[in-house]
Amino acid sequence: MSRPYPAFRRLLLRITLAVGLVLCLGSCSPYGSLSIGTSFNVGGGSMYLTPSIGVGGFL
Amino acid sequence: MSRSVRSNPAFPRLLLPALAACLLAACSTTLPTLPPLSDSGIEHPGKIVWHDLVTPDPSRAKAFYGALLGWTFEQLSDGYWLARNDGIAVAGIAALNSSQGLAHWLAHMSVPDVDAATDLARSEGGEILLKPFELPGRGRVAVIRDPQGAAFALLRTRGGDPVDGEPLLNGWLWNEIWTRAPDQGVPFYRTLTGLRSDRRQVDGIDYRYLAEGESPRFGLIDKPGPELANSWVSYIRVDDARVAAATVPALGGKVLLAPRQGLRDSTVTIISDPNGAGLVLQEWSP
Repeated sequence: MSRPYPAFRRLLLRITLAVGLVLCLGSCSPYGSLSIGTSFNVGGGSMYLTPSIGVGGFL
Repeated sequence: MSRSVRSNPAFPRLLLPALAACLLAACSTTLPTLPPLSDSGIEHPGKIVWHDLVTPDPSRAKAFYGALLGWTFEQLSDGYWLARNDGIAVAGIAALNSSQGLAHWLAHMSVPDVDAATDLARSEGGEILLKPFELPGRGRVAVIRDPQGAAFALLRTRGGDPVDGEPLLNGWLWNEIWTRAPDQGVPFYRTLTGLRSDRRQVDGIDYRYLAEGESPRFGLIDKPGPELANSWVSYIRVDDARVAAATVPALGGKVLLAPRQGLRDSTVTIISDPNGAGLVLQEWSP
């Protein structure tokens, strides 16, 4: 026996569609979902580079 | 839509997956179409052939790099911009979905087979951050993290890799992995790329690098700050590192290492952009 299509389900579908479209349009970057999870943060520590190594740049 | 269909209890269960599939398909077809890197037809496995900045704030990034390096930008999709240096494609700026995401320069390493390289990386202790996918016009791409935690991309270019040439002013100069244990990082990359590893002793510093024949491709050094995560770091050739560094704070970035003469036989400064992505600016003469 069929039952009436509940209004809340129609609402749910519309919300799903809207949210999905927003997410999709906002994620059309090849790396939109990428999470590398590390920052280039040196905090309060000192930063140094090795002295001249003679092979920097375009070796 | 007929009332009989809408009243079917299976309808919502079918519709939701169908909607999700349609959305995914729509998104995949709206990825940017990038220009090919080269029509050389030549592959240089292990060579860093492209850089993308992944950032939560592309607008701020464009303003920063435009003012600092004179780059111009062309929007290729809602979330991707192509940066040009004196008219030549030099990098991409890719939006992160999350405004809380961390900005990062992503070096792209040429490999002959992205899927095989991804499998190999996993078997050698790497982590897959983005599974292989087709980037229209550019080739096949994956993003991985090496066993020591440094993230980078694998790329099989469509049309071939750029040929070696002199680095352009305000363009890419060199790439390194900054890690706590460079020696331990070498075997992974040697296996992944087939490159040979070599080292040079200069002023007591042991500098390791991987090379294709006599052409060095990237180096590995002790990371210059203990708090810094193991990272791939890229160098940009600038005309005057002092002038460049002086403009960084006003543009919203940070100078992490003030310009220092005598490094790399030149003057070098380490900076981060307004969203925290790190770079090295270096003067260099042929």
